[in-house]
Amino acid sequence: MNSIIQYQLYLRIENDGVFILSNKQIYDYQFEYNRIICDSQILYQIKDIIYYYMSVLENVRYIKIQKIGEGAYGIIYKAQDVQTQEIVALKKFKLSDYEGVPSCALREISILKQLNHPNIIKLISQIIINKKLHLVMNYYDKDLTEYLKFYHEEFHLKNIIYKILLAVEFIHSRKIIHRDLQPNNILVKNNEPVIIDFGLSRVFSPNLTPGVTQLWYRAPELLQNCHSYDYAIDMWSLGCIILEIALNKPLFMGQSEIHQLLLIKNLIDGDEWFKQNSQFAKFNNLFIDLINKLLQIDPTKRITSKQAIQHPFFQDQFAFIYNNE
Amino acid sequence: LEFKLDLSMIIQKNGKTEEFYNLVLQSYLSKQQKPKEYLSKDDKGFDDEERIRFLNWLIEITYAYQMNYSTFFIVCSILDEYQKKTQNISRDNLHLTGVSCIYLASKFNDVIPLRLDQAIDISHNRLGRSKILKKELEIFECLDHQLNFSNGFLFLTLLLRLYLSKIKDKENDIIEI
Repeated sequence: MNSIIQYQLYLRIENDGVFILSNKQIYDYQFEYNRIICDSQILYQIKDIIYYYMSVLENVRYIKIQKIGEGAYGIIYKAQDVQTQEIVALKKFKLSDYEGVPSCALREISILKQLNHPNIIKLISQIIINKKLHLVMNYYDKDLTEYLKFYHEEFHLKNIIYKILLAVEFIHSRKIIHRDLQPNNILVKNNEPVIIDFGLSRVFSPNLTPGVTQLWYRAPELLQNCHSYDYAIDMWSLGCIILEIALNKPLFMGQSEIHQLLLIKNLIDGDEWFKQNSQFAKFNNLFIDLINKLLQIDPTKRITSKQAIQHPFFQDQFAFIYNNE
Repeated sequence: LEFKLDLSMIIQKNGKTEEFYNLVLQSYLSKQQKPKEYLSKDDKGFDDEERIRFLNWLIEITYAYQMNYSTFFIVCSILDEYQKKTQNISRDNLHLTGVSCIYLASKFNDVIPLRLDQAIDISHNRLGRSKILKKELEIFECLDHQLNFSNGFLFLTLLLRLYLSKIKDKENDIIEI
């Protein structure tokens, strides 16, 4: 039996394409010179063969299991490390012949290398396979939107909010603006958040592009096409995310930039906007104060990440998001 | 990029800005452990004069292609760091290395990055596409994928920003950069 499989494997290496496992079953999957892409079920069945194949070609390190996400920059795969059996996430960038290493990859790698924090994704290594740049990172299966679909204890939610703020403070203290904070870019594992996706982030500079952050979490000064913003745009996104955690739905769901700006202006009207809205009646006073300080339209009045950590809401152990009465 | 500065020094010294600036910059640079000797002085290697000529030309390039002001400083740090690590920039390959550095830094730092066509334009069509891309990857890997150098421009921007914000509220005299 073994010898037959080996023989067929040998054949397929030369031909590329459909791969015959035994006489009865035919498995169809993509097969290239040093990597294998297939479904997870099939992978389980042909695991031994793949490991045999691995031992032939020593330069194989990761087996791609499944595609997780796709973006303008490239594709993210779930993969398994052959040497340590660990599940990792592979982020693939296209290295085109026209532009070389894409600028978002340049920024992401050099920024992630600087950041070493338990609540920020860790870059394990970066490799080049078939002229494509792959970033190897830890794998987490849940993001914040999926996490919020289930009921969770309040102290878990408060802990998540606090840990996100700690991580953002860490990023800002390194003079980096994240510029793409949104629930999809915050992963949760064992009630601990992890911030990912530094493709848009960059070092502070006096002149920047306004077209960053997902529309629902975009700060008002960005919507007004401002070219010289600072860390305050991250704090606005955080304000939206924290309210989303509490309300369990996104706060501003604009369809265009104008619509988004209108929604913001409608909700935040004067200094006492949160008192007029029945949505916020069930919240704790300290929590409302924190939100109010984060969602300031004037970026200079918005609190910084450092001040947010020292806010009384986090100092008081018994202050929860909702009123207990 | 962590650095603390005592603003009360300014008030005591009363006006001598140049002295104050030197003091700040010295303590800042000593924290960064910047290389003080940029160049190796062998016969065919690129020497001080060569470097200054290159940087002069670089100022024109950054102006002509409307790059960020800080890009100039980043190109400069990349070039120095690369020379420090490999010691193999010579008069012959300075052109290629320089253009690759400009291309890399622009992609890292600029709002609208330089296109490869423009990079070839800068070299007056003397360098090929694949040559630049190969060198670019080589530099990027040699620097351990780390392009985020602190530079004088960033330092001054942050200092100015903090100083302006401190004028508004005079709570404490120590600023952190």
